[in-house]
Amino acid sequence: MKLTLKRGKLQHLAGLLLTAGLTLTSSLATTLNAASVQTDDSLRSVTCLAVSPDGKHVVSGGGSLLVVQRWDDLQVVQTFTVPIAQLHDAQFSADGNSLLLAGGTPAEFGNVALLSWPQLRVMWTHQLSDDVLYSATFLTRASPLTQWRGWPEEMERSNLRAAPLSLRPSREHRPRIILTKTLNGSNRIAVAGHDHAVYVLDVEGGESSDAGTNATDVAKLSSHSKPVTSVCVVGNSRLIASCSVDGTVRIWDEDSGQLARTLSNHLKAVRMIAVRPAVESRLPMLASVSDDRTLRLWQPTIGRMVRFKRLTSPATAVAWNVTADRVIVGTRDGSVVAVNPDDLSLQSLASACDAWVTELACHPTLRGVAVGDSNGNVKKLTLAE
Amino acid sequence: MFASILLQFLLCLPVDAAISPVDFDTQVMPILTKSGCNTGACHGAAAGRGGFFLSLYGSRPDDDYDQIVRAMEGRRIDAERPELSLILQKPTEQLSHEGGTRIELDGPDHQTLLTWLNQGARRINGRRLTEFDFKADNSNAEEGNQVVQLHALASFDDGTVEPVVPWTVFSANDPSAVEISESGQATILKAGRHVILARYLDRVAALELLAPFRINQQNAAVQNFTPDSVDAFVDRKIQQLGLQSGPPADEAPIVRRLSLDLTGRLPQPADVDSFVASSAADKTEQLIDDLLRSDHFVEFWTFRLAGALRVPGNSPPVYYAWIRDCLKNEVPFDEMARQLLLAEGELQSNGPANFYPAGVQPKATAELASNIFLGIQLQCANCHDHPLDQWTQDDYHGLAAIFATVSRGPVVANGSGYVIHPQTGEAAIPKIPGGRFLSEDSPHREKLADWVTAADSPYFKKAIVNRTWNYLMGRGLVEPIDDLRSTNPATHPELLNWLAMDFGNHQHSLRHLIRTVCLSNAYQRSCSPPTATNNKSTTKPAKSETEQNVFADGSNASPTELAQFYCVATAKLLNPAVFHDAVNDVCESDNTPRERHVSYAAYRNSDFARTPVGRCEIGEDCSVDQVAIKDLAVQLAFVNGELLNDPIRKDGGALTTAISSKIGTEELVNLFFRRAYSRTASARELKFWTKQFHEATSPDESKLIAEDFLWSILTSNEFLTNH
Repeated sequence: MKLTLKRGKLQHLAGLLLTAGLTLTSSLATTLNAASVQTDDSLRSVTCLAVSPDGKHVVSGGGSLLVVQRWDDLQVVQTFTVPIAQLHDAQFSADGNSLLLAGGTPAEFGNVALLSWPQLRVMWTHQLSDDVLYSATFLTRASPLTQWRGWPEEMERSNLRAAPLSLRPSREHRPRIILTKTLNGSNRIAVAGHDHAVYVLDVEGGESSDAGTNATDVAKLSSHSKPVTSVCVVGNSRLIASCSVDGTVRIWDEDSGQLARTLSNHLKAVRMIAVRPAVESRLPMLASVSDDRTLRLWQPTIGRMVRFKRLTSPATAVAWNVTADRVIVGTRDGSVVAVNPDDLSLQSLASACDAWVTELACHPTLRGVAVGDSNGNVKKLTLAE
Repeated sequence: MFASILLQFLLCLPVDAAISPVDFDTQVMPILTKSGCNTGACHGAAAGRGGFFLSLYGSRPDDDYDQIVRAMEGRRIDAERPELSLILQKPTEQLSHEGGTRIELDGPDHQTLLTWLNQGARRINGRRLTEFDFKADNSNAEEGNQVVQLHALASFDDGTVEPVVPWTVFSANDPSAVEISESGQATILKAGRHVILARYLDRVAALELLAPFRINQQNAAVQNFTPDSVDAFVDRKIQQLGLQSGPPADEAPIVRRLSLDLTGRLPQPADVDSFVASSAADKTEQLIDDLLRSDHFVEFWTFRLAGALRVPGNSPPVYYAWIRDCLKNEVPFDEMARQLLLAEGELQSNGPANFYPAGVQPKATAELASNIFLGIQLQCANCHDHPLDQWTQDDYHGLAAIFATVSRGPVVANGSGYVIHPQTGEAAIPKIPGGRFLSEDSPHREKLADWVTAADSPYFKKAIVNRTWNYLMGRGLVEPIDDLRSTNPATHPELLNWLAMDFGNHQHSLRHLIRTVCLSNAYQRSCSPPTATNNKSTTKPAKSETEQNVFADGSNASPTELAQFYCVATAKLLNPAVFHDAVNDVCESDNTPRERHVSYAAYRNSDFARTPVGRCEIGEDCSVDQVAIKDLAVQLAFVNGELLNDPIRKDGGALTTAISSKIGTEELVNLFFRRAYSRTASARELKFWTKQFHEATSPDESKLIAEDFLWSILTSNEFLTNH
């Protein structure tokens, strides 16, 4: 990436650097008010948010900008402009070696990209669909593996702190990136977006050291009648779940590409779904949130809605904490609610934002959750025991 | 340290903030409205369009801001490259847009939007619109002044007043009659009364333009106007428009008109003869009073009120009986309304309690109550704020919440029910429409009844006046009759106000109101157009030959326009039930007992009430309760169906009796002319039918001709209308 930044971008970076020296703390949350440092010339909503599997970093995105912050104090350690005009989703692979991004250019095309983590090197990009992609997920239970032959020493020393892009290694010094095949013979992902479809793709990497662009379309799952807002894999089953503005959650068979069932109790657009982390001897459980102000819990493998919780505002984001004993829900009125999935009791309530909560990401080991909002803020809340 | 230095450097850079911030509410929203983005045919539809939802005509800027900036993860805004934002690229059609080009690329509106985006697409705490003033240079277009400049001024809470014509949407009720340019110049292409609506932000205002059909000499009646009668208002409007009122109707048609309007029955020929023969100066007044005192009046207007209240055919008899008793005993209409709104008790024993029939949702009751007692169409506000009036979703669901506190079965106000407000997903708070929210402990229905029937209520009296005027004159002062609003002004607003005041001053007496209207010259005019004059038209002549052929009084006013301003009476198609009764009255012999269609028995018998010529089912909203014979099936029923053939051929009927009595042709023709038309046949008509009867070669053929004769009467326009 060339370092040809406009004034607004410079202001943005300056703000980030300035804020990196500050730590705002409260009893409930540690906050980086990104909006206040993004200058007055843009209103960049947080549209993707993920916590690295090792729990050390929070990755958030908006527009084409990816921001890496430390979990502990939310200090910005790196920013990165991705080759996607509007980012809408970021997902870490299970092994923590890669980051899957989805987005695109509205009304033109969708983009999906695979970045190495923590190096944020673009390993693979692909363009598909005629509109943006809102969601992406790894389908292979073991994600695409990246074998690193080591960064140049200067990169290692930089410790990724706002690594100057000009220091990126030249082509001949770049490490080799190998996308290895997984057990089922593919590096499979699912993406979904504004064109109503869910796409299942096999990432084609191989031995090339250049970022790949090829993919094999495995299946196009077309049944939703409106944009698909979220897609995920159902536990260790071979089922894919997707939700849509059409008010449904649909369950697909990954192998056949057939629609397995439709969960249609929601009354309005479903904004996000999240699968409960695997709990031994229990059926997979799916949480969905909707404009109809409800959180609904489903057993997707048998198509049953288990229970639902009415909320005070249309819900926008949902996530499970690592111990699977809380469902975290964000709403348009800026509040974040932790719901006990067994009895639907509210475990904690915080008015986290003065804008829409747009993204949630739970820490993989701690009882913390990162919250992104439509004003560009990223906050961190700690759930009560 | 480095950061601080860099920040100081950046703060020294020239910034766009030097440009005054664009206010989303008062600068961006008007562009969306002006461009048609938030109309019902586009993104303002309840279902949105293309996944993009805007509030109808920008009634909810909060939601619109969220839709543009936040919804679908902010896809419509590109913070890094504002010029590539969907909100700009779609309406300028840089990207494919089903709605076509709505905003000119690089035009002023485009620049405003781009500036707003460059400034961060924020919603500043800006100014609020406090007043919208819509006026014209001259609302009474005179000769040679067919171009009128419209002015739209917006006043904001920061004290600024701005001309906002470029962002105001103008629309004429008849676009073929008035052309309005982007700069607000209205060119009047046709004479008449034209209403222009102006919409700016969430305000809509109406303006009436009068373009006279002819130039009148300054008329003394206009200058010396005294608002003391129906005719004063009607005649003034006629004179303002350069029209000429028609002659009064002949006496026989007046008897028929009054009889049908007040009792739903054709007059007896003898009664017509008696009226015509009378030399009393006040015989018309006496006739009206006699009819108003008759049981037939009570029967017929009970039937009409039951229809207006949408009384179901299967409702307990006490409901219909209660309406009848109210009319018979001259219960003031405001008292009737209060009894209905506040009713409690068993449905089988308490008539008004049936205003809350079991199984009917509170929303339906709210719509009925607002329709009948307020004359408004509140149902629009179920899904969105009323696009042309003040009513909000809070008003609609708040009124429904009042009725939800009534449990049905036996009607009991137990306060336990609720309705869900679609915007909040919570129970709607009871609310007086256009007024205040009601506290939990207040008697909601009492508050509502007080507000509805208050002496200064802007709706209640006008609603019943307008409905009654429509019954008698064939058109409402406001059309549709249940659509009273500032943006749908009455043809004669001062008359409506005066009648409403007069109605209130006379204890809300329906009889007084009917009497007042029926005594007016406007009511008693002939349906024939006025005598032609040679006055010169001031406006462009109508273009088509068809239109020119309908000119009747020397002006280029069409018969419809003459009737609209009551220069002539409107020939009203009969109510379907009245039509059936009239057919029976003509075809049955005098002594035959018959069940009347306007009776309670018929009202309860839905099969009996359902006729081929009626479009409306009992218990439905029947704002158009006129004979409809446009459908092919109805026309076939008229031509060769049992609808008319059975009563014509009925053994013992009037025709068979007349034939068997071997009366002469002239006597037979006049017998049925008098029964059906309340007049005798003209010489020409008599000559025609005499010739037909004389050509018969056998009794059977003579009978067929007689049947044809009666059939031709029953299917004639003169019979089907109250004229």
